[in-house]
Amino acid sequence: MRRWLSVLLVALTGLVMVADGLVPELGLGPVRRGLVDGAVILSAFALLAGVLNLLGWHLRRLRGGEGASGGSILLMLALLGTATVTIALPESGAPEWLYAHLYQPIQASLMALLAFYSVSAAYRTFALRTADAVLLMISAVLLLFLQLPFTAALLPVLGDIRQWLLAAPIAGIMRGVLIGSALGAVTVSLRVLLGRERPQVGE
Amino acid sequence: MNALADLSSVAGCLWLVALALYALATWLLDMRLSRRQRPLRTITVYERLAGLVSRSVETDAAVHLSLGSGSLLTEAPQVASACALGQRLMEGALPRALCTCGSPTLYVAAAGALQGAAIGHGGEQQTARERPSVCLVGTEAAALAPGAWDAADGRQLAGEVFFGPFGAEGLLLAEGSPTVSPERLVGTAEIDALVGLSLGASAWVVGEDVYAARAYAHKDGQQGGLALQDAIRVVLLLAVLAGLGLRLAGWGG
Repeated sequence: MRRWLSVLLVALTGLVMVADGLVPELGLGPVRRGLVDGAVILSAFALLAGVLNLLGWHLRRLRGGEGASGGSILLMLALLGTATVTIALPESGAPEWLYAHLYQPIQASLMALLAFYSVSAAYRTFALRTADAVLLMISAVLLLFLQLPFTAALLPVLGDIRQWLLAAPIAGIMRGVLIGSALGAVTVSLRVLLGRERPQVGE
Repeated sequence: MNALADLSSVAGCLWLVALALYALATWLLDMRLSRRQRPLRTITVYERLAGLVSRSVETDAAVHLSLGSGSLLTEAPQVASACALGQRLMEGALPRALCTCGSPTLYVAAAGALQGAAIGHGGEQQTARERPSVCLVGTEAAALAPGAWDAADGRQLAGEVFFGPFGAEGLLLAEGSPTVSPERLVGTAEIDALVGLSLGASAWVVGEDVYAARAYAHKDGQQGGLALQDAIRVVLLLAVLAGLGLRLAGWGG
């Protein structure tokens, strides 16, 4: 019964969203907006559930002595500290300051590591000497060479080749993958709407 | 103005009809192909998944499944496919599976789908501590990677599966991890994310094949949609080649 109710709710919700998205004249706009508002409210509860799960996970790790405890303690302190500041001093600018001066620089530093990680990962991939790796290496070296500023100055035809590569084969393949992905997404969505696939009930 | 609105309404109705026909064709093909045991073609990631589960059981090592950091509200179909793959892992590698994600909505979806699958496949005998772990490790993309490193810290891994809506943090997660894993399987619908993730991966899958996870991982006769997708893909491939040919011939600018 619970399973069927869940499938029915998903199907009805999906049908309303699709019908209103494609034919707004049906007048389902208010229902659709209500459903979207409901989803936003549910997301807020999901955040609460997620944060509780995160706290529980680290508390269990601390109690069980698993892994390094320093990170767990730091995470809980940061989580509780930020929550306290945000709840107690919402208008003081402190939450924004914490985000802009602590979180964002840390995030930027982490992302800056990507350049080094991509080089090390590419080296390991090439070392595997598979057909994929060879293709990857050839295209990477070719495009890197063609993208360099001086290549077009050395030989103007190389600039034209680069333009052609980006505009014709690469754009064509990218669009093919994108359209294929959209088809796959539509198929999965239709399966869920028809109840043929029920990820929400953990079948 | 009214004529334009009417035209848009007609186009919308046509799209609705097309969707209904697509659904009907998928359903009919599903029925027709329901007894087919073999998949339509071989996709390495799904072939290797069974080996990964076996290795996990044999070596008593964990499997780490990371579902990425996209939101369920915007990436629902991809999340549904990732959950289908996760359910297969949970059924096979109980209780050695660890699932991490970087979005609260993703966490709620994964917890429902994966722990439900675990309970449905013998997990009801286990205590909550023994069941596979599904945990939110961060609420933003950059927090996902260090959170997942921390969650897998100290575990012996049979393999890692990165499957779902990833961004640039996927490469960070894959390459920065201090835990060594003998196999890494990757799947994402975003081609930009795949560029980083595929480096160093044992096998990867991109685009519409990501959405085929349920049919391949569970082999439960839902191959009609795949057959239809493959047929449309052939048409698209021909269209791409025709477009390329026309462009080469100097048509279309």
